[in-house]
Amino acid sequence: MNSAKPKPTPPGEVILEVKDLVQIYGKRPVLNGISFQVRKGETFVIMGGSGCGKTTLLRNLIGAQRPTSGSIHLFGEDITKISPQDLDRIRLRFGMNFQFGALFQSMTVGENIALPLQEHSQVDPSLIEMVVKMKLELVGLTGFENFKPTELSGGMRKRVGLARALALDPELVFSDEPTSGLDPVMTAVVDQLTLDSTRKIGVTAVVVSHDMTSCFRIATRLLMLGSGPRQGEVVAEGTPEEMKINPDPFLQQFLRGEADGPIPFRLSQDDYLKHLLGDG
Amino acid sequence: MKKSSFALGRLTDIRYNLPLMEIVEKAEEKVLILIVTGEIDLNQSPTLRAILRDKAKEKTPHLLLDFAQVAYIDSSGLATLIEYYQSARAYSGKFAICSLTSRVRSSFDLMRLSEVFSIFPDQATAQKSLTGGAA
Ligand SMILES: Nc1ncnc2c1ncn2[C@@H]1O[C@H](COP(=O)(O)OP(=O)(O)OP(=O)(O)O)[C@@H](O)[C@H]1O
Ligand SMILES: [Mg+2]
Repeated sequence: MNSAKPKPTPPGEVILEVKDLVQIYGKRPVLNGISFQVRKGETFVIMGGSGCGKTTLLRNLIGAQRPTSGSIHLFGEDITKISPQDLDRIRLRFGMNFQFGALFQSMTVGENIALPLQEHSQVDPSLIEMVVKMKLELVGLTGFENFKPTELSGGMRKRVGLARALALDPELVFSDEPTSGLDPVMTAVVDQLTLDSTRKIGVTAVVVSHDMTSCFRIATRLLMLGSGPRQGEVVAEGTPEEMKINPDPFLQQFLRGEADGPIPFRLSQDDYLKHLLGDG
Repeated sequence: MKKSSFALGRLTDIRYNLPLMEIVEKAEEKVLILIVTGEIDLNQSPTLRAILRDKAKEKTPHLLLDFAQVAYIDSSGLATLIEYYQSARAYSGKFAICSLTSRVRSSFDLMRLSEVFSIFPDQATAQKSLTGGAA
């Protein structure tokens, strides 16, 4: 066997380091100098308003798109600079649970989950079948392997996406809103899965979420991205306890889910009128 | 990798040398013990599978896997154990696993397999149970 498996990162070691990340769409900086670190075994939660750039950030972290500037060290390698081949090698070490599932519609649930194992391992088909069943059981979908994604509800598809992200038992899992659209029980099931795999097995999780209950249940640290006047910047970062007592009005409005506060979602009365009259 | 030539009361242990996993085979009076060291992941589980399939073919009556030195097991490793569990059951062979580290135990728990396998805290307890108390 010539398995060139990289040395596993020791506990507490930084496995993801983002420095001065900038992503400009057109002329608009969606991410404007983001920096943070994630250590092995952590559950790092990224939150922020709709459209603030969370998915954009995740896409950068997995190498699906290149930033305008800045660096992203994943398992010690700057993925903004490496070759596609080297990126493929690093990809085997993490799983990605996409915001909208991104399942192959022509394949069954079971085939979707089996695919990474078929492509990247020598595991026998009969064992792959067993692994698929285990992953489906993990996300509460036992018995659904022969369904097509179109035959499932949104929340079920979401969980298939998670099962597929876990197919290769990655040491790092990125999840884009894993619990949105799930009922409270299924949310708790998915949260418990995150807790067990991070705290007991040492998996690292980077989770985008704006479900506050879920965020504070699973996070070891949280980061809030700004929007409106603070678009592109990190509003706050810290442990759940630190975030709760952080007085930043943006953060507090978000945590409390209040309509009134500095987070703009509407124009002022004056600006609205100008906009309607077409001279704004 | 050496071919297994299991015989009861064999004098020297067989050593399978693999890059990130080592398996030492120890034949006790009634129980064949496989002492596994390393990580049972996607790269290593096919090798463990090959050895376990040999044991199933030989209809090993009492097999014990000692996991004291196993730092990690993934789903493919667990599936490999289930496959052996199934073949052993078919010929009424006895199968146990002992000395799980807490991380490995958590993997069994997470996949809800801790109740499926006979798991023991140490070799002595496992051997006693495998041979029906007459250790
Ligand atoms: N490929 C693209 N080209 C141009 N603009 C884009 C592109 N992708 C996203 N954007 C813009 O970047 C901003 C951030 O989008 P993103 O999808 O990252 O938000 P988000 O925080 O994930 O939102 P949500 O919580 O609704 O999923 C949005 O204003 C969006 O219009
Ligand atoms: Mg998004």
